[in-house]
Amino acid sequence: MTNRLEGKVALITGSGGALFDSEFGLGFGGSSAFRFCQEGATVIVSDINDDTGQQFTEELREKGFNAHYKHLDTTNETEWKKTIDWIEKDFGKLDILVNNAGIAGRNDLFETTEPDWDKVNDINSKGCFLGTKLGGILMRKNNFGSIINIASMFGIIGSKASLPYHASKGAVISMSKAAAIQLAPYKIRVNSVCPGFAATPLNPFFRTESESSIVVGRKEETPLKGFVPADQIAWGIVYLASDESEWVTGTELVIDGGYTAQ
Amino acid sequence: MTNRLDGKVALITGSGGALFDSEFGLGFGGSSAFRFCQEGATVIVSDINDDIGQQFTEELKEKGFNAHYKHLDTTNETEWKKLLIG
Repeated sequence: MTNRLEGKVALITGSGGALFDSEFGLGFGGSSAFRFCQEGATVIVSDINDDTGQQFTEELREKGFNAHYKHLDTTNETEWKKTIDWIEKDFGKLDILVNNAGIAGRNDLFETTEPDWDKVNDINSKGCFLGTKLGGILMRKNNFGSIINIASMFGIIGSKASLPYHASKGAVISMSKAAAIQLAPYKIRVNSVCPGFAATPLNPFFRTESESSIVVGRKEETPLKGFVPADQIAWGIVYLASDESEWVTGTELVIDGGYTAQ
Repeated sequence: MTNRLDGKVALITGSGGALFDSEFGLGFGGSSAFRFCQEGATVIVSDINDDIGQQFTEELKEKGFNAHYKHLDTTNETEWKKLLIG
């Protein structure tokens, strides 16, 4: 499309979970990978779903984009080290890191078991920490970088359920602020993006035609009436990744159709 | 530059207080007016500083942009009505 990310090397975690024609469309990661490619970036798609991830990367390449696939379990520091070493060796630098990999966790307080807590917080929060740390180490060598951590409006507000999810996303927001201060001397920016109720492969039930009470309720409770399209989140990520946001660090970009303004 | 605001009509208040070569550069309004123009918008610059506002708008037009100037004291509802409704 244009060239807002020309010359940039970007790693997007959890971006290989769906294909262009998947039933529930692309998620935040896949949509970002597509928009990053359109804006001229070299994009490294990473995921634990290697089959879909490789296929999606192939789809991007068939469109003429500079896309690569790498397996990455974001909860595993050894895998992070391998991935970052590979990026340094093959691409020489890392300009943009999107810590997008995440899962839902809808249990309320009394339903939440210790394993539930650990799983959600490992993937959503620890994965983000490891990425910021390991990505930061490579970015520091170049004195440049933008890290975008995908949080949620549920990291800002509470709700009737999803207790471990709230905790994990709140951690992402505050961790991003601390990292922004600690990485500022290296000209590395760190921000978070807080989507509202969105229609993505992570939340397929939001997309079903059978309008359950939860779907209808959530659409109705959102001032702009509906679910946030994944592509709208991707554009916010493009902004934070680009040099247009050179002075934006330590903040959260809320893209929620007005939900948290209430 | 590109066309991210192609076909859009935009009003930016307080955007006519400085010129491109002003000592302290453009403000938020002027910078926005310039970027909006670059992105394809029709931009209405408004301000209470009519002389500079008109000059700045001229500078935008000389660059080939679709810019217009209108006096507007944003504290005055009558002026708002004149501008928006005519």
